[in-house]
Amino acid sequence: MKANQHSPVFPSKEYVRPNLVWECGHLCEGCPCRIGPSPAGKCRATYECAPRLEVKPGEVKGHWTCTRPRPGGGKCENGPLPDGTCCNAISKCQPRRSLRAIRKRVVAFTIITSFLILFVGMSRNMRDEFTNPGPISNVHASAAFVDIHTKLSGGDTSRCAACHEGAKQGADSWNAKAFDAFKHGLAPAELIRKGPIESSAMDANCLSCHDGKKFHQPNMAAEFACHECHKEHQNSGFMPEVNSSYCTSCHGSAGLMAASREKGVKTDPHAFPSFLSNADLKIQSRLRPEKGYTDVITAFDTDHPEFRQIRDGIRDENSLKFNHAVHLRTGKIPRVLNCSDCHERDGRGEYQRPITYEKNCVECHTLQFDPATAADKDKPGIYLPHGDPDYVRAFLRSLNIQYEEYGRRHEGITQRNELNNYVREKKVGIEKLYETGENLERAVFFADMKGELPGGLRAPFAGCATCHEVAEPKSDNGTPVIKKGKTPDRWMVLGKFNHDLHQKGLTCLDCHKVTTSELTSDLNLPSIKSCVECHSPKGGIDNRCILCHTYHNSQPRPATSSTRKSEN
Amino acid sequence: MLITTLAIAGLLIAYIQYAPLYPRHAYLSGWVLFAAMLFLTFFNLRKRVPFLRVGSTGFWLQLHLYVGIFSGALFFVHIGWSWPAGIFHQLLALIYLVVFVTGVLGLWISRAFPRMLTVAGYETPFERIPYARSSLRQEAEALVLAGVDGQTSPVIAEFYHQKLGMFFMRPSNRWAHLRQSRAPQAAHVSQFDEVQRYAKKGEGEMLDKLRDLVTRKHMLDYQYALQSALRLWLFAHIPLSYSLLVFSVLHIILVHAFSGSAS
Repeated sequence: MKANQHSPVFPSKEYVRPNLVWECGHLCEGCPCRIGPSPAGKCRATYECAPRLEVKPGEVKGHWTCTRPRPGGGKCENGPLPDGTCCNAISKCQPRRSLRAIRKRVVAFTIITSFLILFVGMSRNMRDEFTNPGPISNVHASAAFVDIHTKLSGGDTSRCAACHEGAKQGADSWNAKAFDAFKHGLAPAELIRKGPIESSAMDANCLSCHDGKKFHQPNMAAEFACHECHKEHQNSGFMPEVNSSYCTSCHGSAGLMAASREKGVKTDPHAFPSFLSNADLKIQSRLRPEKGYTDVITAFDTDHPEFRQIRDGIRDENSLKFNHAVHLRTGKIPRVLNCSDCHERDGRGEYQRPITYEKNCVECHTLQFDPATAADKDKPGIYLPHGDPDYVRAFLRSLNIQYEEYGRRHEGITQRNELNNYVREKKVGIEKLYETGENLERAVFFADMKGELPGGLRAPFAGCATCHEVAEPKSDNGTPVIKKGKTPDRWMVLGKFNHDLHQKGLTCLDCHKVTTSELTSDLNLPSIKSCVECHSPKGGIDNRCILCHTYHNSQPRPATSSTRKSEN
Repeated sequence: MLITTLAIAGLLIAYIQYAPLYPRHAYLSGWVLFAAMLFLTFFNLRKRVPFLRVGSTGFWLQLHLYVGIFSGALFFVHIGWSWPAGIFHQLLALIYLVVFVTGVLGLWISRAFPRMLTVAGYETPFERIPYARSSLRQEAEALVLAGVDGQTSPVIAEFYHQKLGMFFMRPSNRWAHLRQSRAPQAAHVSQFDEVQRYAKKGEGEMLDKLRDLVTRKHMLDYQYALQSALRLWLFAHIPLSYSLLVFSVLHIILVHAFSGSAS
């Protein structure tokens, strides 16, 4: 466009009133009448003027004079008609609403439409679907769930009422409910309060199916709402996984943790859910930390405390003697072992199955006290039983019978004379090695890996003391006491771990530094630092709390004498 | 604008840093958003209520713009950066977005169009445009009628009758003008050039005058198109603002009545 044109000139005395509701229908033609429409939108146009009768002195009838004002063109040439009517009639128009008036009507129409939409949406049949903020998870949308809640709510068919108290009493009570919430749980001061949302009447509805709520720690500052972590109305499949921010809303709050710590001191230790309640799990008992688990944690990779086993320098109290370094070192043992030779993964790929002598040790640590009766391809050889020292002792004191049985079963000797000779021959061989039965018994129980016995004696056999702590018998004719080994099933019982998942890209030795571990008491657990290498924003692997921890513990078991001693 | 930018940045940082610690933050952001919407919807009360006339209109308009932009960020924080799923909440979010987008569009229009109108020239008050159009039409008709004397060729009269009659009668080429397109003008120039070939010597001056009138009508239409847009965006922005308030009130009632905090 060129800017070389001046603005058009207008009759300056003509008013334009865009704020009026109606405008002359001739406006669009550029020639609106001067009087304009009435406030009701009626055309008021008649004539351009109302002629005035002027009677001069001496005149009887007088004459009509044009009264058209100057802005309208002034007096017309023809003047009024003889009957006093203006000669210039204005054509009638259909007045139109002004732009502003139309906008007002659009506003009114939109508001009315909004109310209509809400009215229809909130009708009884559509209300649930209309107000539902999102699809319900498949469990809570199932027919079984509806059945349960229809029964519980006494036949209320509103599925919202299954969880929401507000829906139980119909839409007319929502205002009161909302106001109630505004006055109490959602009062302005509450909105800026730190910490999770506390338990409410809605949680009681959750508990009608999900029995038991005291499933975290009894020293929590308050009972928290289920929906604080479990977000419903998100999608129609599973409920979304719990976000770490819900955990850190408590564990990241110094105030809440201090309150929990204080409450924990006053709480009966037996009230804390203990991992001992899991009867299937063998663990090494230890006292609950003095402060409980109230360290402030905002993220796994920044301020999660070191694993307690490492931080507190916990040692394995197992009485079994085991040297990882020797077992993994080339040349020290008959064959090189891999971790998987002994540590076998459980069915879920999470943890290792328990180590047993029969499965994992017997191949190398045979209890073969008589080298002359060794195993070959046809015969199993004769070995001491494993498991109970009394059985071992009874076995040794019944060697005649054992050899005779072995000869009959495995050597195929059936004649009595031949059997007697066989047994005699074997006993002579034993006497050559051990001289007396007493020496044999001591060698079996007290000989170590090198065959050395207390007192400087030697034996051609690695006895029980190779792996076990063996003590002298408590009475003259007693059996030596072998301390039972207790290999814990798990060390980190407050977290879960999946070894299979970690085997992709990692070897056992990447985390467990066992090649230098010579003592049974070494836990050989990795530090949290090695976890953080990967489980951090830098490492790029998920580091949410729920990967390792579970909020819902099992219900605490009634305190027993065994559980009183220890807490997690 | 700097304050608004800082406020939005502060809001986003606070959301990322502190939202996990304040689980009721959605209620808080909701109330602030509702207060902002009330302020935005009723900001023109200042013009109507005498005791509210504090500060200039320009100041309040600026405040309206900045609060409106801030409310956009607040809206996304409130919905947690995810589009709602339910019918009612989708409607509510959609209405908000339409109001917000029309607001932003209106902001751009109200900043850009006046400058364009001034640059284009032939500035005419919107209410006077019908009068100006009528004047142009009368001038054009008078010009063409003056040339119809029964002796001269009817080319110009025919041309006016077929191509320009309706053009002078009403606003034309609104979308082309909004797109800043000059195609309609170019078409008329081309038509004039064609007619010029058939015009007699004496008719050249008349054609030039007519060409000038057509140019002015284009400029008037440009004024009309842009000034209409300056008014018409409010037809979406204002009515939906009230609709938004109606929906918001129900939303507030619903979330409070259905929250776990109601006994």
